Amino acid sequence: MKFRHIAPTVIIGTASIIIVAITAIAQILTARLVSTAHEGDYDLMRRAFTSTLKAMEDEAASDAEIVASIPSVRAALAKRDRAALQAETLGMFKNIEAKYAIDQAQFHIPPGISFLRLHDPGKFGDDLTSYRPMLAEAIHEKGLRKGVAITRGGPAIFGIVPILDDKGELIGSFEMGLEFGPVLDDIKTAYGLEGAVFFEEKVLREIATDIEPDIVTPKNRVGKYIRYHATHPEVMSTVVTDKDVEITQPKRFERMVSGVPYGVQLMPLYNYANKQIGVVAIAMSFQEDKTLARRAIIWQVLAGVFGVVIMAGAVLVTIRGFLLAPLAGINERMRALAAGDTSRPAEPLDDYCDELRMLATSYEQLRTRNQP
Amino acid sequence: MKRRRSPSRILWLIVLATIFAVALVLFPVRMKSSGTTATAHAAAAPGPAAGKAAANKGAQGDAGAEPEQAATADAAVPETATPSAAAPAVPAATDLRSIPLGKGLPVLVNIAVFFLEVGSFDDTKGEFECTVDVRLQWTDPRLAYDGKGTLRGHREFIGKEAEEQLEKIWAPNIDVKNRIETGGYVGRRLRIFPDGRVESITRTTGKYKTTVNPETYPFDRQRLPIELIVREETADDVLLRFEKEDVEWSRFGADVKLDGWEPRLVDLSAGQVPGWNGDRYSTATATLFVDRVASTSLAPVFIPLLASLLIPLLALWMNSTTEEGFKVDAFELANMSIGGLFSVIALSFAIYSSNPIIATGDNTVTRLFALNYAALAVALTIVVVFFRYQLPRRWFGIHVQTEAFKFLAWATPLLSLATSIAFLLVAAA
Repeated sequence: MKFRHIAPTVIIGTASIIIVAITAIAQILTARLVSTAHEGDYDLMRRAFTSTLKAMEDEAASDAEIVASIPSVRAALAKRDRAALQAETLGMFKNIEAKYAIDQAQFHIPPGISFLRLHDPGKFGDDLTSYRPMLAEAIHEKGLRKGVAITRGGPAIFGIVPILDDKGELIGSFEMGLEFGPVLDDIKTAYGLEGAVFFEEKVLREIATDIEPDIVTPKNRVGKYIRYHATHPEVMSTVVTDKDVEITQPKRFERMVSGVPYGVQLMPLYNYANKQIGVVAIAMSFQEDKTLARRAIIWQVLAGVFGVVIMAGAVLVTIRGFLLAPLAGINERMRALAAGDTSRPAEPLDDYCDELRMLATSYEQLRTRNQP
Repeated sequence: MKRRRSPSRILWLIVLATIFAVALVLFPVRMKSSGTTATAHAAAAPGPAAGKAAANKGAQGDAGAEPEQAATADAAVPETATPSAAAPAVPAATDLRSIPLGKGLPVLVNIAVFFLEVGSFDDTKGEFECTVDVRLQWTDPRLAYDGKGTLRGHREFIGKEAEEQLEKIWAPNIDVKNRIETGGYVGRRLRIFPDGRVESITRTTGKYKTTVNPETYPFDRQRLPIELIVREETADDVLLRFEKEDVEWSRFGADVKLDGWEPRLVDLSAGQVPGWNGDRYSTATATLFVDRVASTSLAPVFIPLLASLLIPLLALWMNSTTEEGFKVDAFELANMSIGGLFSVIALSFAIYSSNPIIATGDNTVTRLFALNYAALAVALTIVVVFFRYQLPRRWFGIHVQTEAFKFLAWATPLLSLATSIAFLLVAAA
């Protein structure tokens, strides 16, 4: 066992382990910091979608209430005068539909029969109650209802208000449906988040028979869903694949798109009857956070390397330079002296530390005494 | 009997009479002025209000205002409005060059940009040349027509015809903010649909300005933006926006190739910029992201930089210890370090002159140059402290100096290498 090797190895090894451990802890802390930041990001994604959706639902409901409160509209509906109702409201609808992303507007009569579709005046008279629980409840309860639903015209955000006559008797209802796309577009504008909404293909084919034909196509098919709207189709088609979209609970994950890491939050989308009708995906670029985290790790590792090297230098120079090398010199001279060689004087005393200086002095005295 | 009036009663009478007189004088004036104000409001309000009314959701007068209705409603305005105030906001029925009010304000203009070709990207100047198709879509109800006669379902005008048509109708005045040069050829196609929708596509080749951020050079991603802005009409009148279909249309051509760069994604964004007196102007930016091919800068930049790091290390490796001190004189090794200093200076001139963009700011190249200078400083310090004056020997003895020199001989290159690798990894991170 050589102290020359053992001592530096033990000291440098221990110091290195400590430095590596400190670096690792720093990296874990950094990773947790980033993870916590991402928790906040996922939370932001959920809240951004929820609050925007709620705002749109409120807007649909308020729009519907305004129309339903117009006396001439109520009078025309009470008389079941479709032509008068159309004359009263169609111009208004045409004027605002494109500008305010109004997708559908419809009058119903109890128990849920379509009376006038402003977005498609030629179609009326069909019973909607079989697939419109929200409408059925609004009429039955004579109360305002709002939420997401799929209709013949496609998915939309609806606000349905009952229309009562002067005596308080129910004469019908009116619904205003806002397009779903602006929810995601607004989120993108406000928060810089990409988004996509997927609806079940089977439901779309069964109910949304008047939907634009270029939506339910193989290009938009993702598992059993159809990508109905995406703020950036190229990005969203990469971050959400067939396997990802099959969810019943909120789910999140990270995925790379063109070298950019995205954090993806998937949320099931329910209709008014709490039946899942689709999935919403919100994606946020994590590039900045990830880059900063990776850079922090690199700097931490570099600092660790510097620490280990400098520590090793200090140990080697101290042990070998101050202790072992001078001691080796004295040992060599002592061995020669024991063999009868008195020709080698000790090195200058300044080259020794105080502890060895005594030994060197003793060696020099021995050598001088044994000289012939 | 004659009643005698007390002085206080007389004083009260005088005060009351004065108040009454003042009231008589002021009352007609106030009535007159309030009447004037009311008249002025009535005269001024219809001008701008007529324009805005169409924008208001549910505005009954203009709801679904077709051209005739709008014109009729607007025609009533001058009766109460002063002609000068109302004139700009009131389009004549036949004047199709005025802003369309049929669907209210602001007129929503959908925007999409297709990058057909990217000819060059000079990151040193922050300029790129490309050919883009800019598609604008808006609705002008005055242009609606019976589409039965059209074979394709729309009227189409190409080239000069399109330009002539655009002269006759209203079109948003959109400028490209960052364009510094336009090519000779400008291709146009105009489509007018029966419902009044207008689609204009303009193909232009031009040179554009961009801001280059070389912080992560040579692993950097740069933006090639086309920055569009509406001139003259504020965001209350014209608003740029994009929808899913516009995002899908906005991409780069399959044949787009750019030496040293790899095209990635096209992104659309919309915003507003402030103008005078609180006005805001609508903007939209289509950005093509391109990634630098890092290997292209390996040979000309990074191999010389890393090689020059060896020069200061040679000053250490060329020497060795003896019982007396060191084998090689300090003078020779100092010369080597000074030579290294000049070579690094020359290298920096060569690299910075060919890539001015990396000469400024904090990036991998400037960091590696800093490391070179630091390594040279360390080498010169070792030459002076160890080889010339042998200070460790004087202070701690020959053994400490020997061990310290042995340590520096491997620690300096190791730390130098680790730092340079860290710089590259940070850029690539």
